[in-house]
Amino acid sequence: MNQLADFYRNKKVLITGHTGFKGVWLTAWLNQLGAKVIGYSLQPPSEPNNFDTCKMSERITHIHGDVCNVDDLEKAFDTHKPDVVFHLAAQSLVRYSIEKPANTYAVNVIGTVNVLEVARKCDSVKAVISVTSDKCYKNQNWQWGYRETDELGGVDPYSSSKACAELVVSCLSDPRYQKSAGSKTVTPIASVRAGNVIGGGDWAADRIIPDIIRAIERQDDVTIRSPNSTRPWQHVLEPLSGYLWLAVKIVKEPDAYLGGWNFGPKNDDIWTVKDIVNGILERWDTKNTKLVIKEDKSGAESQLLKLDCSKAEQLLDWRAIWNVPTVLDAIVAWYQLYLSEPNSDMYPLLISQIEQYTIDAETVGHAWAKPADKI
Amino acid sequence: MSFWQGKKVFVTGLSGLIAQHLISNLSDLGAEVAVFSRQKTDIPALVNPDNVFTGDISNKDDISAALIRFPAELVVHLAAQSQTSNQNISSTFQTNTLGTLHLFEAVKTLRPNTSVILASSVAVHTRNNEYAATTYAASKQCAEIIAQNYSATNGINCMALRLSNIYGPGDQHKGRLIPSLINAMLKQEEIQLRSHIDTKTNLLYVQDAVDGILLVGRYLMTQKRSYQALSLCNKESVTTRDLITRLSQCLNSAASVKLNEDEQASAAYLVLPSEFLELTLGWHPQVNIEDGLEKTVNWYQHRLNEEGNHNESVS
Repeated sequence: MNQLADFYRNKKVLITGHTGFKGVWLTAWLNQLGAKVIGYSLQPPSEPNNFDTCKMSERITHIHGDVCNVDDLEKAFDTHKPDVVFHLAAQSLVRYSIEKPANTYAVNVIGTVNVLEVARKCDSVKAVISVTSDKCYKNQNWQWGYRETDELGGVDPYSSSKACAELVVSCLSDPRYQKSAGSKTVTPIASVRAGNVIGGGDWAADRIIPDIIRAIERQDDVTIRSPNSTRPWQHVLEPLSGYLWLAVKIVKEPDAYLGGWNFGPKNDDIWTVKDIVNGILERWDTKNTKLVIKEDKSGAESQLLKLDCSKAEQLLDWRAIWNVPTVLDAIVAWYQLYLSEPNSDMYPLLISQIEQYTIDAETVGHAWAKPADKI
Repeated sequence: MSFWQGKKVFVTGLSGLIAQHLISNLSDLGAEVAVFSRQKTDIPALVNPDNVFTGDISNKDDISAALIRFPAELVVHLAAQSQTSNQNISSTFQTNTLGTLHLFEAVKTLRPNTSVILASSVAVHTRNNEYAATTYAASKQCAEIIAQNYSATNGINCMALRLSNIYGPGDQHKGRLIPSLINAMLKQEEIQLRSHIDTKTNLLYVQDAVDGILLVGRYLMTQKRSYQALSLCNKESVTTRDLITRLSQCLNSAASVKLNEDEQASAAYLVLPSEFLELTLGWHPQVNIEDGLEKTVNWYQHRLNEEGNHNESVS
């Protein structure tokens, strides 16, 4: 049994946004670790979606609720008394945020206020991990990685709402605030920032992997406009291993692991959009879908925003594990199975990919994957 | 003729000290002022009743409805919850953050050429790489991020003014530092301090703040300029101890103070007026602390006398 399984076995874990792409992977992993998962979320964000294809509603306690509704949140916390909280619920699409900024802010800022406040007032909660995004940093067009203390800001409502969510976490996690607001003990709250997560089970609009899969399904071509731009691609399991491990460390030593945490990809493993598309098409071995480049040189692409993950590396002994080819193998395996058997339960494949990832982490000797009795 | 003659200025938030003085300055200068306020009460008589809009800043339809009717050239966004309560921090963010978002959305959609001044606070300055010190500061930092966002993405001509502690005649908020000190001293009550007596506060006389707002407003309306957050404050801060001494001189009476021993004297973090305000716009505080306190004390004394006369005539 590794460190994570040792900690999470029989722990009650509440996840907001468990019906989203990342939320389903986190739920599946916690299930595999033996935790009792309570999910609090709106309906899945797309059709099809990872939540339904993995038949998650049968596998956990599923609560349909909105983070903007404080009463429902309080009820969920009072009823289930979670030990650990992962706050993932968010309006996560940039394009939608431009059309609906008020809704984006209400969910991402006020929703975060609500979840953190309810968690703070709930005595059973021993750690809260609030998930934002690498887009919370003001992009200064630096060549180097962004650190957890760099300036916040964003040019679209999604990014700026995530910058604001960081400010909310920063002040609500402050022991001075919590004591002045009447908390007898301080509830440890940390915020985590990942890069562009990819993996099986994503169907969101305007994301590169779902766009490729939809094109393959329709036997259409994949058209891209910024072939040479790069993104901090990483498999969804990479930051999740960081979130899970961070919560373990926080519960064991509440004062030592607070603040913001970057969980980004390896900085020597940055791929272009073109390489990602070609990588998937080669693995799929299809003749019906080709890459079409219609380069759009009008808009100035902002520089790749790299994350400096030194803090997580030094203090948590956390590192990214899978390189991009391994990630693409896992993604293609996932969608090929899904498209060949559309009604099959995808949960076992999620679990087997989680197991493979865990074995790889154990092989390279990462702290969280070490046997529990050896530390 | 003054620059402001006939200019259409939309002011949100009327309950504060700045709004009163800003509106009376603008009216004197010949501007056409419209106001957006939660309550129908306390609307200055100077404002044309057709230009009075009531509504909730955290309701996007209310602010849109006002801007549809009033073709503002400048918006001065003062509406904010400044007396925050830890019991309801969600409403602090609703008002200060989402309210600002609704305002900018309405400006973007309805009046994209309108300039905007966002009133922020020097409280957003933090030490030691902290992002936010208090919920109020966090809600205002969020508002600044929104302003920056709308300036960069939608080209809204906008600046944030980070105001320090504004004082002067007319402040009705008895919970604030200077009104609370003067009130207690006028009534010869014991002063209950909420912070350590040697805590420093950066005070700015309200007319100096209004002058800064007018200069920045005029600048925004005449030149296209990229967003900045400008500190509008004094160069020096004063301790509460010093304030009490000065006020008791003004009032010619001794003060009885109950010290707050629970709180540490917080080291004043250094805020300085923005160089842009001083060097480019030529703004400098004109009213020193002695004169400012004297004017303020006179107003309270005058009002107390009026209340006294009023009470006598009633009885």
